[in-house]
Amino acid sequence: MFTHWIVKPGAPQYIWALAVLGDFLIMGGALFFLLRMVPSRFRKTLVAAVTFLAGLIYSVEFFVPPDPATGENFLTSFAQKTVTDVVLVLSTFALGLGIYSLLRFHGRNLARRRAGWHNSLALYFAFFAMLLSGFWTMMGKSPAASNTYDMLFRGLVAAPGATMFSIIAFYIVSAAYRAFRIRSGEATLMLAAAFVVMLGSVPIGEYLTSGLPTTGFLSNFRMENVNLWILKEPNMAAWRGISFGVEIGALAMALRTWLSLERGSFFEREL
Amino acid sequence: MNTLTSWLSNSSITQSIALWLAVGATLGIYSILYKENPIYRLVEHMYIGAAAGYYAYIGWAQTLKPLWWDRITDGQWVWIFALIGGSMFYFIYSQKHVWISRIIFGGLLGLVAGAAFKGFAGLNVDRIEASFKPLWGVPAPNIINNIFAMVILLTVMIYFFFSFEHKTKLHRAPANLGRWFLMFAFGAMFGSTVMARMSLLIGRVHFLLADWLPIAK
Amino acid sequence: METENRSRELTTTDRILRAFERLQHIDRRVMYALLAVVVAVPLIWNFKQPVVVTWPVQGAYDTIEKMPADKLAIIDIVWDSGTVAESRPQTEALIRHLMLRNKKFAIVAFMPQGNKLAYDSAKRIGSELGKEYGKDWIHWGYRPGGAMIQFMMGLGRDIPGTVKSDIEGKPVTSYPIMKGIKSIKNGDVGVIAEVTPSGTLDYWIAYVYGSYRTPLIYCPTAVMAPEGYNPLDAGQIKGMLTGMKGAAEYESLLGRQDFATRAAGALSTSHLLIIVLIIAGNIGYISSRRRRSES
Repeated sequence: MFTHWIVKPGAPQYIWALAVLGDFLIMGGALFFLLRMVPSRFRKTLVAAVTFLAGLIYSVEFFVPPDPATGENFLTSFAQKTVTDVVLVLSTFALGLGIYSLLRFHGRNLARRRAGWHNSLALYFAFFAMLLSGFWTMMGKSPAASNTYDMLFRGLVAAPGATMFSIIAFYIVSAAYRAFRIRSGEATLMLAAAFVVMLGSVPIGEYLTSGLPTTGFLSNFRMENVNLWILKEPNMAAWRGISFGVEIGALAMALRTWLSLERGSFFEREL
Repeated sequence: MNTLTSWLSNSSITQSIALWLAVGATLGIYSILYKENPIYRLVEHMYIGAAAGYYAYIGWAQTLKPLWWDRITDGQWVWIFALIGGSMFYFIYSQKHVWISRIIFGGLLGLVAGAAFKGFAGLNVDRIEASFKPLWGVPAPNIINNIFAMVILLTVMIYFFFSFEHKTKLHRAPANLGRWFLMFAFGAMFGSTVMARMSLLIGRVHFLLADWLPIAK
Repeated sequence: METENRSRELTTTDRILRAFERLQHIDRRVMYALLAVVVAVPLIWNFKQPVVVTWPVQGAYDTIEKMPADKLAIIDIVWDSGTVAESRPQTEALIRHLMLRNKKFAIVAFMPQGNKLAYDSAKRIGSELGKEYGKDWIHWGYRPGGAMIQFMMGLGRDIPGTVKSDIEGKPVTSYPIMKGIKSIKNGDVGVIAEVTPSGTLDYWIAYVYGSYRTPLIYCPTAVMAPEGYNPLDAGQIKGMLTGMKGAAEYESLLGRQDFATRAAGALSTSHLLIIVLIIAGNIGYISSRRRRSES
């Protein structure tokens, strides 16, 4: 706000950074002091009011009939443009929460030389290496910058990330071997469905019944068709039943959250 | 410094380094399959750090800079309030002022909750309509499939109906049948999960065999 | 004499049952080694296996084939390096198909790592097929997943105003591909393909398909595929690619044998191993139950 009068478009970036920081301290500080003056007994009401007003935007926009000519009502432009832009920016600011928590935890490990502190040092090293290489690419299109960024991404992010999830394959083999026992009729049915889906999803399963014709009544017994039938009929119907229950529960939960009726440790904490 | 920059400018050098970093990370993580060891912990921490650093960079470069910072430097001063709003999240770390973070969290939760009505209608109207399947006017195998699907849907919904106890046989029998039919869904899910996890492993093994030791195509 | 013979018979049965019981106690490291071998051998020996195209994949293929050339396709990337082996072949198959048919498309990512991985894939395929960035395809960059719903609703009304800039940070309106692209409501988007390991398809259905009936294609990892038959049956999605197998089927429709097709052999052998191990475990289980009931 104050930057608007002092700094003009085209000014150097560091001037803008200082101006924004100044604005933030002045206006943010003013808001902070105003909020501090809110008595404890009104804090939950304030939070509930903000929650309700925010929810009112999309719910009113949905329920108010649109103008037939434009397909929009008086809230559509605000809800689908302004709110979208604001939420995109706010959500990105929220990303910093996880990063800050991570760095704070490992920073304490380092500072207090706890067991495994060298791992925390490696974490910090990798964090700043990746971050700085990214910013280096923003400073200019140099091959060194983009090569370094690619190198670190492929070596330290993409490969370990893929490997972490691939370990689950080994665990699923040993878990399935140990746990999948036909102790009851239901377990047998589940195992049978699993076997059909596993075999029907891979070429070797299709090969087992490749002798059957591709059209006509007998084609229904080809492994891929049995697999598709299981997925499309009983599986689909069961998941639809589950999803209806989940969706109704989600709607009820959304209503309770919007009206601040929800209970639990987070919502009932004293403010 | 110039030597380092010239090395880094050579993509064949950086690609080789990237390959060896990736191989080291892959084998280091797989070492956990034998037993817990310091190499695994080191690689794990480096991955978490690098991923967080990447996340932070991308968040700035592709969202905050074009959607927020460029607007401010363009003269749209009102966006300074987004920084104030965004900073309210960080009061979650203050024991005394944590309630200030609840204002902004409440706002975002309220927005999502308010959008739930539209979401529910958009998602479920077609599915409810599709649940009423034709029982005549279609070939006989389709009629059998449709009856089967509707019976499964109803019994599964009865199974999940917890508003009152499953006391009477009229309630218990279809609920038990629904539980049996759920086994189809869970078996299908297990079978599919196996395929998913195996695919991920095949991807990594292919990387080791084709990109590192070129003994596979 | 009779008693001696009977006890010898029991001993033989007992020995057989005990032998089968040991099938319940295979060391996990042996299983891990077996798994590594059954995955590596088909990759090294390049086992080729024919892939049968199923109707959900055919539906996805036909949807893109039928998309008018003046519309824009959107490929939504919600995957990261954790599911790269399944999601990247799916993404690349779709990109290749769109480029081969000279159809314009935009990529948008809600996961940071997938953002770059998809960009690299599109650049590689684009240079292979002579497609130009900004003219034949564009990458809208990364947007936080927490604002997915709002972003989708914004696209419904105003695409350039919601997206603003591309992955390079330049205004999207400066690219020829975005000329004439106003909004989903205006009918400017022909197909939306969601490549995801999580349940984010429901957002596209709820906030875009529900209002504008834009054709959707779903490309889940295999874990989420059983849930995809629900919207497929309801007509909310026009086709589905199930994990790596779905990508292999799509590659065969394109007349190619890329990674997913080459990996199909390893997929088969690994599945067989799990089935054999589960059967072995159950034989051991039944044997121990029978031995306990007999003793």
